[in-house]
Amino acid sequence: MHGLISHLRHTIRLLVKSPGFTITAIVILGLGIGTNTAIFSLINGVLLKPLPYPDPERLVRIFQPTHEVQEMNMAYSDYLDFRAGQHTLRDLTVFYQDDFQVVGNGDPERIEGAYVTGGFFDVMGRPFILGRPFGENEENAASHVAVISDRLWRTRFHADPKIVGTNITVNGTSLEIIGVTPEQADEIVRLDLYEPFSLNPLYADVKSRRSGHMDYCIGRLKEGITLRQAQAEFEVINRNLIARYPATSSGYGVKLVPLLDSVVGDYSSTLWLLGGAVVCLLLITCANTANLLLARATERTKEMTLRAALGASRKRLIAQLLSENLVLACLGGIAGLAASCWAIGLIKALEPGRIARLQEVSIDRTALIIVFVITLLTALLFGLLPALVVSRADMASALRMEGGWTGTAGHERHHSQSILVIGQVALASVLLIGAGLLLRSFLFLQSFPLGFHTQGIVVADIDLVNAKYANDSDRKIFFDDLLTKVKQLPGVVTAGTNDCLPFWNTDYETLCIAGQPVTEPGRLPWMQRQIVSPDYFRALGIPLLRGRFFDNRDQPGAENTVIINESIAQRYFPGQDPIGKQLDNLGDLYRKPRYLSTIVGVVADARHNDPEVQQTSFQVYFPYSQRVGNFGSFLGGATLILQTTGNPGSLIPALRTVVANLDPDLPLTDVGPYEYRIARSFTIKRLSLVVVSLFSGVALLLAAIGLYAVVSYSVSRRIREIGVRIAIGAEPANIVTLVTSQGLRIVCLGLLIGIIAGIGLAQLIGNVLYGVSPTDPLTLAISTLVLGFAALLACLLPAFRAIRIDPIAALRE
Amino acid sequence: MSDRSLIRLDDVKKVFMTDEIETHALAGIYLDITRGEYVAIAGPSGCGKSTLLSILGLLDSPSEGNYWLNGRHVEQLSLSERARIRNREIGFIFQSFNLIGDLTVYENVELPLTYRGEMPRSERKRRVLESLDRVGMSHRQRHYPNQLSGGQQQRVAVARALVGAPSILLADEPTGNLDSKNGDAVMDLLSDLHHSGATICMVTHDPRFAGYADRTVHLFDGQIVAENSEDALPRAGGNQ
Ligand SMILES: Nc1ncnc2c1ncn2[C@@H]1O[C@H](COP(=O)(O)OP(=O)(O)O)[C@@H](O)[C@H]1O
Ligand SMILES: [Mg+2]
Repeated sequence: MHGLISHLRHTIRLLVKSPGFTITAIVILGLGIGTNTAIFSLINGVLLKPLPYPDPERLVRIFQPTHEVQEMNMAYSDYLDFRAGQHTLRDLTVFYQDDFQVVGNGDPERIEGAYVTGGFFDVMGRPFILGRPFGENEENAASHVAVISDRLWRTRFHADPKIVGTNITVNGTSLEIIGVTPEQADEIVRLDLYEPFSLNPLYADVKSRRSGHMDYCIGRLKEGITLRQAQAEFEVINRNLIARYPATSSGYGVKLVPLLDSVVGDYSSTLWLLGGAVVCLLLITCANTANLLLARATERTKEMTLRAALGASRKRLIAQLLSENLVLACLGGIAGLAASCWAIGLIKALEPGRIARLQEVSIDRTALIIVFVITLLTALLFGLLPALVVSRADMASALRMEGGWTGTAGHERHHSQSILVIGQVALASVLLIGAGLLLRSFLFLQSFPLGFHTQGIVVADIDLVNAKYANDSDRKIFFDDLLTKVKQLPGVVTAGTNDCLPFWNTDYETLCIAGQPVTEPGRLPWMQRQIVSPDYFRALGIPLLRGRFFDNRDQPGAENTVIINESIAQRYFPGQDPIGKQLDNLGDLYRKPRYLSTIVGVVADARHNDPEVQQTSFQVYFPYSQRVGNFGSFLGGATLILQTTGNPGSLIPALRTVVANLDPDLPLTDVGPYEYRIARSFTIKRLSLVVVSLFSGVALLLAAIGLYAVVSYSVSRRIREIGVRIAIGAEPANIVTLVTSQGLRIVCLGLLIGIIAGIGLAQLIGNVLYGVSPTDPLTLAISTLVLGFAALLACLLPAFRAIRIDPIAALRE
Repeated sequence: MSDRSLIRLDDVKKVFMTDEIETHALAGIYLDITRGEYVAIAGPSGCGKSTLLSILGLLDSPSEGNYWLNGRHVEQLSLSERARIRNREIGFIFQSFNLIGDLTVYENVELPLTYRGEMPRSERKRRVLESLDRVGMSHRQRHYPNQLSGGQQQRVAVARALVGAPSILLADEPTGNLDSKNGDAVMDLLSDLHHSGATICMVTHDPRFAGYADRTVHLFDGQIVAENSEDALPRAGGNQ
């Protein structure tokens, strides 16, 4: 015990004696362990960790894919048929997610909630803090009951233990709270309220006809049943459905996927990209650690040999080195822990909650341990080298080898170190190329023409979920009033509304041109449906190509009108004038009133989502003054769009006053510049860009440190040689060339390997790149230049030290 | 100053400051070396011999006094001008040979020439081979220094000093690391060079070797305490 402490004291004294080495080692270990742990935690937390339900691997999500849209949601009537016919799932449930407005017990508040079927809580395996779930009876009876989340219970009801049995007013309707369920920190979507599915305003509609693929469907596999068996059974049921309801079911398939896959599927390529970056960085960290220790080990071979000559046992030497490396690794581990906390905090701060489960990620202990152990093993392996050398080689020759008096350092080079640095440079250049490609792709997406203005545009969401606005006419009156008042505000040029604002909300309907042949339902083309006010196009500067915008001719009772975009015009009316032609809502097919809408205008295409989202280029606009669409209480909510001059910030209080004067119970949400909302849809790409940039920055730094260490170490070994060269007339420029050329040879080799590997690996991230080829020459050139510049710097520092070498001191022994 | 004078030191002093202690390594040196001369500098250890040689070789500058090399006052020269003069006018021979371990014998000898940008490769080759020939080492040009004996290494070092056709060879105890047989051989080599016209300034503490020189300067505590000329050996023509 005493021996151990004195050992430790000696070790710490040694480390303090060479602060340069110690600090460099801790920085390298800290950066490497920290960033790697952070991203491992992220990948595990978001991608790999099981969902927080009992037996989550048994949960499956069920889609009804068409040839156009793979992840098509479930239609309610199909759900009922699947549920009745299947035997492989314990149960299945559908839910429909929506916004709800809660009043009473505080300010009006908008929350996320869902209409869920009776089996929901059982399928999900949801526990209850208070009360109970509602069952099928209550669902069938459309009972006015609700289950709330424990977050809502705490924030709005101060965790009242007698909450069960009291009432809550949601969307103007009073519901009895029957249960409180814990907030599922990292579930698919964060919900605060659950109502019976039958309270869904569209319930009557979806029950009566076989369409409307809008429900999220989840099932739980029975014990001993595989996903494959269930899939096979559902396919049989689906074939029967198509045979029974050819008009509505043909064209739809059925697909069961593990719930976890469907939750994170969207981000998995991004996360695996980050994973690749992690592996690169981990290798660089190990190489760098190895390099540093190797340099120190070679330096200490002589010391070790002397100690051995003086009678220290091999065991003692190894113990000494071991304890030194352990202390270093522990210090590095502590630095790494701090760095990973910081990195996770940074990543969370950059991501405002769009990636499922990301905000709940914390440092993953397994990841930390794995990364730490890998680094530790590297440290031990390379740190013990001098002890092995001493025990292997005969000591006399080791003593002679080092700094003999006959000349400068012998004819042996340090291959292992150079190879390690070549590897680091190669990996760093791979990361730099990756970061460069992501950056170019990001810039491309950012500069992608939107087809509308965003400058000076202020947007705000308004939801008319209150019972006050039950009638279509009440809603129309409200929005007419609002737009009139808002347009009078100083600084407002014009104003409009849209229920599916681009980059915010999307609604699809099937597109059918009256008089053109109808294909099977699953093969009907899709269109983006937007319900707008007359001045919407003017507010966003979307140009009119033919016909007219909406105006007060488009009233209820008048002829139904519609404006289409250029893509529809070109595809369905080539060489014709679409004005006066009609769209068909296929009411017969969907067993609801059929009506036709007459095309009154053609506008230019506008981008509705970022280019990554699978989307149709067909867009139609209906006037909010007419009831339209396949489903729908029309215009339940909309986004208000203001075109402003001057400072939009000063307008917001005035806007709130206008809305409060119209209805004090109405919340105005997400008020702010439109640009911010659009930026949010780039969050995930910005996140991966930032993370990979961070990584390549760290990698560049580590590779530069590695190179610096090698060149610097070589200079310190060659002091005498450099002294000789100066004495025989080498000028400073000759010495700089001598020193840097050695380093740059290593860099060139590393770069060559890195570029070849980078081009190869870039093909793998091709599907997250937009507007830039994986072999983009500009990116390759710039990343090569950046690395070359860093490398030059890393070589020049020791070179400038070399030209200051005093030849007399170098030559005197 | 006579036109044959190659080196002239006028009251040269050198003071080293270490930890507030002044060491007067050279305390007023007056020295003239003419072309074709072979001067030995002798004296006990620590008397300032190496310091004097460093100043002569432009590796160091005097704290006080004047130094003319080839009629040129060398005080105000820039770092790279001094490097150029070291390269062209001066050939160094060190006690510990100081060959570069990574380079072959040929490359070691060629090194000073590579620092003169303008010389064509063929000319360099001619000079290197000639120089190696003069020291009798041309058959070892592809060897590495650690494959040679000490005496052979020192001959290569002499070839390296000669290759640039310098005005003067400066040797600091060139036999210090050699056994007497090899030491004698190197001394004979220097004598031969002297006879064929080279100017040599050699530091030695061995009175036996001082005898090879035309003139011996005795140094003590940084000052020249005695000079004696050896006229036993014939003087060279001195038309280098
Ligand atoms: N760089 C230096 N710093 C301090 N003192 C020095 C330095 N170089 C030489 N000296 C001192 O100057 C004196 C002369 O040294 P040196 O010329 O090496 O003597 P010699 O070669 O005759 O043995 C010695 O006392 C030595 O300690
Ligand atoms: Mg000396």
